[in-house]
Amino acid sequence: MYDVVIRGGTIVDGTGGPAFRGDVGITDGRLAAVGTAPDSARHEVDATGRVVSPGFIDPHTHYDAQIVWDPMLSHSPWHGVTTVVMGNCGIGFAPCREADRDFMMQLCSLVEGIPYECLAEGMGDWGFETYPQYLDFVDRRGIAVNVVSQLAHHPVKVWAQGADATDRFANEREMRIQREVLREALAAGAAGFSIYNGPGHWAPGGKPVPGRLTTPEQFESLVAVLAEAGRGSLDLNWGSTFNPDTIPALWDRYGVPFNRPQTNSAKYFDRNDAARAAHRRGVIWHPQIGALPNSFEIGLEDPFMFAIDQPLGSQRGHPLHDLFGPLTSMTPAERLAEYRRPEFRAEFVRETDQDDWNTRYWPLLRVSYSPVDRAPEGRLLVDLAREQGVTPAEIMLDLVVGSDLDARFIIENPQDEEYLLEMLADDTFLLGASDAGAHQGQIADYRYPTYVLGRFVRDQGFPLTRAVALMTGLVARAYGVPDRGLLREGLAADVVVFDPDTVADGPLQRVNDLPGGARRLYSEGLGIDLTLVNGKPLFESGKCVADGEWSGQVLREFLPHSQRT
Amino acid sequence: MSTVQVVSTAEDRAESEAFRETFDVGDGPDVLLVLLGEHTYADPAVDEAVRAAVAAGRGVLVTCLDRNAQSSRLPPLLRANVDSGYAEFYRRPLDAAELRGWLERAPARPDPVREVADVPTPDWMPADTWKH
Repeated sequence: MYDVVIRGGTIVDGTGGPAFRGDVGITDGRLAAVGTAPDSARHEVDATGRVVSPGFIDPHTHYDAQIVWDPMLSHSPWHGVTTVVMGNCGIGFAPCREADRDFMMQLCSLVEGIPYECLAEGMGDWGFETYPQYLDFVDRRGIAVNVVSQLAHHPVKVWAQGADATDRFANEREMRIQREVLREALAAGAAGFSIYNGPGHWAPGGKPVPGRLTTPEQFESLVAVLAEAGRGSLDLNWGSTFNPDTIPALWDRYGVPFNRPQTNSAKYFDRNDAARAAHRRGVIWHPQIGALPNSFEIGLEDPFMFAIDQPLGSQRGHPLHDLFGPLTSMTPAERLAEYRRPEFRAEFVRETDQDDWNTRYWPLLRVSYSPVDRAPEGRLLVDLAREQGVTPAEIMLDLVVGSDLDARFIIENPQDEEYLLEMLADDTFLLGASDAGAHQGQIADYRYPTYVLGRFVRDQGFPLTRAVALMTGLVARAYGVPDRGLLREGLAADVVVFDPDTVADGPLQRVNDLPGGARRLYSEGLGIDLTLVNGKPLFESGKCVADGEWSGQVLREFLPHSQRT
Repeated sequence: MSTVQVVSTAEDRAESEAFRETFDVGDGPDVLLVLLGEHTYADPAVDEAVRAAVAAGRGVLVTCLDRNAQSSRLPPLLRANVDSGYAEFYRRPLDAAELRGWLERAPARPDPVREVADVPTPDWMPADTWKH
């Protein structure tokens, strides 16, 4: 007798191969039968007219902090995600000594847009220091979905150097510590190592993030640890000393698989072409593509985008960081008081009434939410400013102050979907880049599985079997996860049942339910009938049914390099 | 406060002059300050200055000319002294006060490397057997 049997569904098994009608039987958290399931079961599910697929694996999340306070890892599981990959972009929280906790939370706040007060309240007493302790902590507290954790470089550099990590490059003694931490993490169950070496991330005080202060030789010495261990992938976002040729060269020397950097359809033709060429000659390198348009909702309640000087960049130094950086550690009430000060207003107007803002950014910004007066919603700030004879910055401040910080704005960057779908047909690229758990007030890309199944598959005819493979089997392969991502007898029973006619991402809502009352964008997954994690129901008809009995696991076993494809 | 001897490469002359002016860098013999630019890695004059500083027991400090520089390469003897902890390799300073602080913390340290031949093979050098 099976524990669960799903009968009469269209089975899309995650390989990209043809779909077929059949049954799926599950016993003791494993797939006991796929295709024909003759035995009876304690729990029978009629999947007639539904698709049965592996649970989705999100390869790019930032739940490293949220997992401390939220075992559901909301809201990824709402969209059929049963496994998340964490520790991306060099951002993580272990190892970390008590004295460095505040710095790590500030760093995460600046890089990933998770408000500091949310982290401080949510992380509480933490409960771990080393990376193995972190994995054990997650295991002990219980989780709704499976976790693939990578060791992140920034905390490792801080562990080795303390406060100097953002001031100077490591010496050899400090590099030995970094390599030892990486060895220890791989032995404890890390899936790999992530490093951020690019110019876009900044630490508190306008300093570079720790990983940027790493020489190519030092970086290579860390890659060598993965090669020595014979396991683990590398998540790399490169800076000025890396280029599209770097990864194939490192592959030739060390044979370490690479995931990332992020790519998309618009800007990165050089890296896309290099990755394709490398893939053809056998290099395991999968840049990641995001499915949703690169649009950000921003506000001044949490001035993350301004504090990091984005989207301004660095053409004029750090004027907005200087203006908004100090606000990141204030309470919302204190921020509101700042925005009311005439001196602040004058400075904000002066710094943004510049060519770069007037030509590149203000024209993209629309009012997305104006609770006091709905009339401006959907309108461009530049149009409102022209009508009222003021600057867009003044329009923004007036709406924010008039709504007690609630007004929101959206930067919309259109997506070249034709090129994107072309990339998704190519095994070089991995679908991911959701940033789930990060930027929660700005984006909701964690919903990409239901978005892809609705918009690309149903509305545009992208092949269902390919879409499912991109979100399951191909991700498992890219990270060397040995027993997930496919519907095959003997593998772990992470399963999703959905209605191909109705599956979609639900409308966005703004909710203030993060620790400290921080805001995030919520989207329900529609058309998903059932989500099983390790054979146990997590969601049925959109409702969580686990009731605190979490069946997710920290995955600690990964394929060695010699078996990676 | 320590006085400073500055070394930079000829190709970075304009950037070096701007750096000295921005950060109010004076002249003097106590600490060797290497201003690291794109071409420093291949300039033997930089390692000559480092060799002399190490021989005289003077502190050595490296910093970046470009605020967006990361992962810059160092000439071999300087690299070896950064690795040994004798020299310290900083990002570009935020302001003159920060640079002054670094210079004041840059007296001669233990473990100088006088010649690159003295440097042992790093423990992470790749072995052919690691290729797959």
